[in-house]
Amino acid sequence: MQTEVNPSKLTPGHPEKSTLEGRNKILGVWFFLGGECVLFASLMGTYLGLRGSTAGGLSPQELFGFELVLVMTIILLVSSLTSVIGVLALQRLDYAKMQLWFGITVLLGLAFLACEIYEFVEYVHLGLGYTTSAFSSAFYTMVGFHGAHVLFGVGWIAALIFRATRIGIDETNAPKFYVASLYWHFIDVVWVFIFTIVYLMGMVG
Amino acid sequence: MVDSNLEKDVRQRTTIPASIKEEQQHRQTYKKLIVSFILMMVFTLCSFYAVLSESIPASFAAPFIVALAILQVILQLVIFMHLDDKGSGYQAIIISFGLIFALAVVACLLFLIWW
Repeated sequence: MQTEVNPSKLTPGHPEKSTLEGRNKILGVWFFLGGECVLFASLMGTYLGLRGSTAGGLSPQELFGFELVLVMTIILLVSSLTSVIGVLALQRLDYAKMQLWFGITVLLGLAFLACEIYEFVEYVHLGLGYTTSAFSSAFYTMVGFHGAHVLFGVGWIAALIFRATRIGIDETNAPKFYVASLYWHFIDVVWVFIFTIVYLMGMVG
Repeated sequence: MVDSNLEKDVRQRTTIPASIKEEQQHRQTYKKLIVSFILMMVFTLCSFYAVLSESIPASFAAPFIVALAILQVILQLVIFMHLDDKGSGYQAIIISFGLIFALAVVACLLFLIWW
């Protein structure tokens, strides 16, 4: 029964880079994130091109309120901070704090998802279905894809936390946590563009 | 009995408390993270304010909030995603290419739709 740090090869500093496999994993995830940039760019470009095509339905200006978006932005920004503090704890091989901060990250991610589901339900009640207009399709696809990424991230980090209760921090585990936090920060990077370009510029018109 | 003592000894040696230098480094990293978090929060609130305030014209607000978003993303990439660590050159090149292609994709799509 080991729930602490596995002392085999690790020293505080950069446990995530202690093996070649770990370093390759980090590089691989950066490649993946580079690809994700293009995925979100194509969705964002489509949205920007089609946001005026409301086909008589609701327009962005009529639809978006700032309160919920501000709350969601702050939730995601704080979760980005908690996950980086989790990585700091990982680098000090502080098992308990690492689990705590990644746990908070998961909870914040769930809170974000709850807000987004509430938002979409609200919009559908207002009469903006997925097929109402080119604008609505592009909007739901863009923001929904981001939400799906959040959902995946929540599942990923939760699985890592659960797994670490059995094995603690070791040289296999450390890069996994590090890489999951990179992914989580990237989700926040995408959201920064979404709240700026979709929501705020939608309100400006 | 002897064996278990030995094991205990090894364990203690492998979890030496952090040295003073490490402790200082840790505090500095922590401070850096908190400062950049506060900056990102300020950028976010500024862009909301720019859009919601009546006194700021939309022609100024739109480029202003995009600039703030870019600044925030740079902070996120460099500080939170550790691009300022030693040996992160390849990572920086990879993500830069991703962003350049992203920009090209948006430009092409807008050209195709609006042209």
